[in-house]
Amino acid sequence: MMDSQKGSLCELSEKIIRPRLCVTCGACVGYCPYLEYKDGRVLVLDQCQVLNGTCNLICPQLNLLKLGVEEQEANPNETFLIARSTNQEILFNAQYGGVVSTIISYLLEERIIDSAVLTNRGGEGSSRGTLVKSKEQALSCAGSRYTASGTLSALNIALKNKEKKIGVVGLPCQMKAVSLMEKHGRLEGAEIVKIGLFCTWALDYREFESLMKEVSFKPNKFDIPPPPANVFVVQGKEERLEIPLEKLRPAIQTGCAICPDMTAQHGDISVGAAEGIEGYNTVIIRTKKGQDILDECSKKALLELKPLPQENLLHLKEASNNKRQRAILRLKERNSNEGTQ
Amino acid sequence: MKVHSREYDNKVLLLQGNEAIARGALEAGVVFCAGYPGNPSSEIIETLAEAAKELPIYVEWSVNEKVALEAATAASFAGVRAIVTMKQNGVNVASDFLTNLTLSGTKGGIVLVSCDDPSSISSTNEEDARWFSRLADIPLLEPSTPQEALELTREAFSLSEQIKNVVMLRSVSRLSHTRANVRVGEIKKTSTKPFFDPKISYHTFPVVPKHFQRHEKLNMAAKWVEACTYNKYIGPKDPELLICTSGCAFTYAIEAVDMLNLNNRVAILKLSTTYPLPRNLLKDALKKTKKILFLEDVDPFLEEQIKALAAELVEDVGAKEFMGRTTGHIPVAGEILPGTLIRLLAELFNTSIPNYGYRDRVLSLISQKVPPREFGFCPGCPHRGTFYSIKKALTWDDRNGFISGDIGCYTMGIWPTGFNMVKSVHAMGSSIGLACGYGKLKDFGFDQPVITVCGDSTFYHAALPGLVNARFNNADVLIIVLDNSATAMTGFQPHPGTGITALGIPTTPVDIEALCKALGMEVAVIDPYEIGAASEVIYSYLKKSGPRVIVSKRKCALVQNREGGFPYIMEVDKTKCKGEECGCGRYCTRIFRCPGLVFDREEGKAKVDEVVCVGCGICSLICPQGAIVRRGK
Repeated sequence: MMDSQKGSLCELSEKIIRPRLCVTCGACVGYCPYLEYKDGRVLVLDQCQVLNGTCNLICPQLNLLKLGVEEQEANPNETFLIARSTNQEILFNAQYGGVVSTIISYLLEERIIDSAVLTNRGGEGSSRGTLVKSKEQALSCAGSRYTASGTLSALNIALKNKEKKIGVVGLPCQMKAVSLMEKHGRLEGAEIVKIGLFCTWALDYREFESLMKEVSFKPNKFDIPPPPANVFVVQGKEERLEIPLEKLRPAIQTGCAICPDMTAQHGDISVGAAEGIEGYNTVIIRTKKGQDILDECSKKALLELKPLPQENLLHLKEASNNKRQRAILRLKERNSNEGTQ
Repeated sequence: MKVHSREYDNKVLLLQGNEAIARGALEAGVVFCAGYPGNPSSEIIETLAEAAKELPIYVEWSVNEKVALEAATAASFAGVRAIVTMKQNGVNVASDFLTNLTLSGTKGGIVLVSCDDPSSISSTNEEDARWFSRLADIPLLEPSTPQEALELTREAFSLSEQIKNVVMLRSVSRLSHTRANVRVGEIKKTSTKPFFDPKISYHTFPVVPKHFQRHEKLNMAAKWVEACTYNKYIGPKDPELLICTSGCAFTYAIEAVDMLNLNNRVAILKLSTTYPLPRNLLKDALKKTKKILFLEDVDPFLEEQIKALAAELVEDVGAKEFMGRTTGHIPVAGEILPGTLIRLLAELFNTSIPNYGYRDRVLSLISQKVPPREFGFCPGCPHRGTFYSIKKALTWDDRNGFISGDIGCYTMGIWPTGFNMVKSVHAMGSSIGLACGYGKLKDFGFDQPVITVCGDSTFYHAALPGLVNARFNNADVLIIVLDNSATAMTGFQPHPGTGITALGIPTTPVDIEALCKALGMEVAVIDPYEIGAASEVIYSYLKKSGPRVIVSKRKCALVQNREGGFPYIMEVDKTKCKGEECGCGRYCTRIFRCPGLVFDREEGKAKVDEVVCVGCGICSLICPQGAIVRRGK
């Protein structure tokens, strides 16, 4: 058993980081000199002795281990839509319907937020969290990242800079981490707009990189077409390579297996692909804040909105529930293994 | 004081043991002096180098001890006297040549001085180099005091010339570094011109006859030893106990016997020639008593020889009871301490130890004033920056990487001052040899990165063959040369990279970077003070493969201080430092640990100790609040 005198980072390290249960949300990075993000991983540089540290309180994975999978509460405000941007430039660069880029651009231009926490495209190393202040900067981050990027480290920079109105675009784990930060009073009074992204898993950057060594061209974009394709598409300027998903699977972060959330329940708005409807995103509005933003975007004709077809809704709920059930099972397996050790 | 000055001829001087050895060599007319620095031997060459400014002698810091012995041997072959100095580990390095040289024999007197470091006060090992005298069949002399150190050094040269072989003189830390009044002799003018007589050859063939010859030389030495007046029996004719001792331990024996008032009951046999032993003297001494206690540093060297001799002479001397390192009466490891002997004698003779109260008085005087201290790099030491950067890079790398370490100040990387990053340390240059091995385990699934750290002086000393091996066998190694332009640990002796010789003469420095590049290795240079950039370079090099080198270049902080100091005045901005509230867990003092930073418990904040801080500025880069600020002086 762990010696509590060693401090809470020790617990985080032993329960989450060392066993590779960390999903690299980046929420714990930037508070202290002990944790750093580098090339797709959150790493512990030294042991700190602080008890009840922020890192422990806000870790979505540790929270999951300690409290289990959250009950799903019925949300009467939930609205399901499909949407796409009306801006051709955004559509050109977007993964699907360009909804996230459009919303962030709108929020920044209308000064509803002063800055946005996004994930850049990387370069020398992995993609990582970045704090943007303008539409141009925001658009340079468009498109899906399939590797974990520690994005929330940029939120901590924003908070350190005393930013008060911040937009955050992140994965379900990151939306949960922001909620935990809010719950534990770690947002320094900042108002956050949470835009969640659908996610079934994220890749470990380093494992992914070693897979990419086999690719002979420079990838421009990645995509996972809807089933039954079962491939990961690497798109170059002209070249195209399909990697079977089975080959990709070992590169998935192991921590993703215990995550129950596919559709970013803690977001104000959640955005994902719209299966079978080319050029559109699926959008779930979850809060009043989210509703107001979507309403404004629609009113200003920045977004074109349509209801989500019933068939897609059923499929989304099924996929979402499957992930949840898998996570519950994995957590149960984990706990019983722990018990026998 | 100029130890070598002729003005002091026949006068009494206060000399350090090592200075006495140097003076003895000068009085013996030494011409060629070589060595490699290493505590406690370094001052001998330093003293001789000073003398070389005025006397017609040559002195060098060689690249290692083997080369030192080889260079000095050339002088001996050419008929002039030579001295070679080293610490115990150095004898290991020189031993390959030594065990061959002693077969070929020598001409001009040549003395190998080994200064051993019992209790490993500043060594990586505790070793008794005396065994090499037996291994190589050469005489061994052991002075007990600085006076004897001078005289026996002088004698050693003439003995060497008599038997035409190397003579070994052994000192220990306490003798090398003690100071005492020494009556010195005369430094005579020598005018021997070196000449290698082509009629004589020096090699080991035919080996077996040469080996016989070596023993004949040893027999000659045994006769010399028998007549040597430095061996002394002191005490009553029929003592209850005889202490057989050599070196510094002799002085402890005198003191203990006196202190416990055992002068009429205990005798002391002081041996200054410990190989070969004076047989007749020992035979007489053994006859006088039944009980014998051995007192020597470090191994039971006398103990085993004398026990064997006593067995051989048992009909003459009778059965004996022996006490020493082999019987547990003296601990098997560690240097001989006066207290150990005093307590043992008090127990054997059932007498009480007089309490002079020294210990209590000292404790009461200093206990409040001496702060607790741990091994640590100096303020401003570039090694702190290098290890900090390596720690960061290896953590980022996340493959359970570690450091294969070597000998120098940076050996302290095994402790918190180097963030406990160094996981193995052995002999000079071994870091790279080990790394070559790790670099070849990859084929068997070994997937941890290994960083080798090696200082500049160590690099030249023994790392070069490892480096070439890495290139030759294409081992996957990352070598970080900690180039601080100094042999810092042993006292700033010049080395091949410093561009200056032991005599202070400018020379072409050997450029580590160019040398590695010439071997076809990829080389980067980092500044250990720029920890951010340095970490990135190390991290990127960890991802490469094959033999590769990073030179971490910054002058030793002590050298920098002598050469104009550092540019900054450091301060903690009290408005920014949040102390215990910060959540950093006192990062600057608990993790970074530069002695220039202290945690002010009264204020609950970090503070710069302006007396200790040199102003290197590194710590301004590590505070999460940016509270440590630097401003120009």
